[in-house]
Amino acid sequence: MRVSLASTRWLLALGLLAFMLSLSTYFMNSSVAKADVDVAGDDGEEHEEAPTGFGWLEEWEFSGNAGYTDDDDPHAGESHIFIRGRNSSAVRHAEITGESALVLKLWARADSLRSSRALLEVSGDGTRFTQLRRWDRRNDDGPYTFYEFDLTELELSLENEVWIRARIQGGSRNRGELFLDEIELVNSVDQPDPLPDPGSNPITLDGLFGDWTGKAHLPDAAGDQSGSVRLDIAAFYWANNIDEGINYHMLERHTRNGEPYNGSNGQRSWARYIVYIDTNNNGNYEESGDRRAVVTYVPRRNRSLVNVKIYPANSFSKISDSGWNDWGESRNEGGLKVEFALDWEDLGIEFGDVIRMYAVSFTGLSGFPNIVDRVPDGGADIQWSPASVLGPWLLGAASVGGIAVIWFLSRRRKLWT
Amino acid sequence: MDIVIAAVLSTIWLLAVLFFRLNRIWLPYYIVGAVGLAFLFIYVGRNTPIEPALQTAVASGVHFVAQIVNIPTDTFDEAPGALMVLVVSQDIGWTMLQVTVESSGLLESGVVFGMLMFYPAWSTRRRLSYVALALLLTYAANIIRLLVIVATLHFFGKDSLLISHTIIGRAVFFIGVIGIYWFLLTRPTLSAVRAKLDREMATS
Repeated sequence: MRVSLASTRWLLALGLLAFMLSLSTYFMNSSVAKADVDVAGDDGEEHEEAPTGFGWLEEWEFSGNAGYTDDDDPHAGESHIFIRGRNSSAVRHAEITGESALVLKLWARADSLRSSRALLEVSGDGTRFTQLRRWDRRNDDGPYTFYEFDLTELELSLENEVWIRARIQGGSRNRGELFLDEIELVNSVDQPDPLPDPGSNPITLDGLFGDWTGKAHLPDAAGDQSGSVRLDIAAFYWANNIDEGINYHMLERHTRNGEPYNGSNGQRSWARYIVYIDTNNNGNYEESGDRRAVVTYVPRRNRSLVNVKIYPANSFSKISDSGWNDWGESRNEGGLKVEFALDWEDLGIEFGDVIRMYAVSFTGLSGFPNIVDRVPDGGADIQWSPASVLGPWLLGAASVGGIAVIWFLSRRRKLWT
Repeated sequence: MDIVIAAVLSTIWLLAVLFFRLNRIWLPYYIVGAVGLAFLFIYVGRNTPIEPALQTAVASGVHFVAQIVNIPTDTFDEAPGALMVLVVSQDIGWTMLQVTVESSGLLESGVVFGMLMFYPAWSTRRRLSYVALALLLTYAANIIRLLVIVATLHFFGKDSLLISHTIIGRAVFFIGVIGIYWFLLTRPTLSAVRAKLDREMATS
């Protein structure tokens, strides 16, 4: 019987379809999202170390009755910027060379303007200002409000620098106030989404934590620490990237008041953690083959210092030292999260090994720590195989063994029959 | 480069299948066709979002059923196939299971897909409906396998991970897959052979 032309075509179509499916993954369009890249910012806090804020070319230039104040209910933190009375102003400028999608974000509030006006303005040369927002007696005396201005839409001549000015115009010397807080100047750039399929967002040690969203983790309750709140662990994360012999971890601590981070309740002080690893999965963490990874995290104003040292569980002879890296959140970012990597070679584990682990925060010596918080609590730990539990070699051996058994049994049956 | 190699091999496979088909060399036609299509199925699955989607589906399915039977588990949005199981015996804590290519059912699905699509003397409609049924049954058998592993871990402790995953879970899944093959391949074949024999005996 000759094969029909229709079935041949059907077979060809099936093969082509399968082929095109395998190709299509390389041509999938990803959606484009916006990502804000910080250019400059001021959290409205008058810090002891100058300059305040980050990314600006100079400090604020205050004229008249203007400056930082703790009074009059800041939006966030302990202080904010005020401009009060006729002819008072605050001006600051930042370098923006190469930034093409500038957006100014801030919280602002105007009070008691009566006959005066409060103006928020921007300029590309420091002399000719364009008004972004105006307050007068019709829209003052309200709560703090968030404002966002796309500076590229204003068709300003912004090339290398941008000036931000807030001032009071008209009215009396002592009345009419404008308050500013949480000022951010960002470059809002197009950024492709992570690959459309879940789980393809690899971990990168860069001090940014979007890649940890949705990854495996254990949360820990607030307030369960036996010591300083700065060592109250909020969550312990773990992950691998494909084809890397590295375990990635992220530790997050609670805010100072245990509430969700709101921009002002972050942590400012350093923290030290230990991740204990039972490399042979026997529940004993003190054998020479086991490890402890000591993490020191120091958040600074605009960056962080993170150091990771790996030791055998039962000695002080250091196996590895990462040096100091910016792998954590800065104080401006909240000072809550730190990420780090543990190389399999340093841990003494291989593909397919099953480990157990838990993390603690501590004070004192890492060899004799005073444990402040632990995750998981209560002496529990986490069992994890960073790769397949079985491993390819054991799987292959099981397959060969199974085939051998079946072959042997079939030979015996032939002998019987 | 992978894509180019896959395309070349797929073309060679297709030509071989056509050759055997046109020349009515049935055994090689079936073997080459079924095995090649299984590999193609697995290759496509592993190089598209199908595999992570399947991993997520398996983990979510196990998580759903585990909640019903009161075994605490957890899954994670950006860790496809990751399933965390609460262990209450021996060393209390959590065990993180990872649904990889071995336990996602992709391999078994590819094999049954290849075997059913090249099964002789069936209409296309019958093949496609059996394939759909086979994929669904394979998914269910995989859920059962993982549930057995989860339950063993939960009740017997972390030390049972290797035994539950290597021996118990595999045995359960093996029995399930054999059952699927019997139901969808062997039984219809035996029925067809029996019917043919009955007809021949009736006419002789």
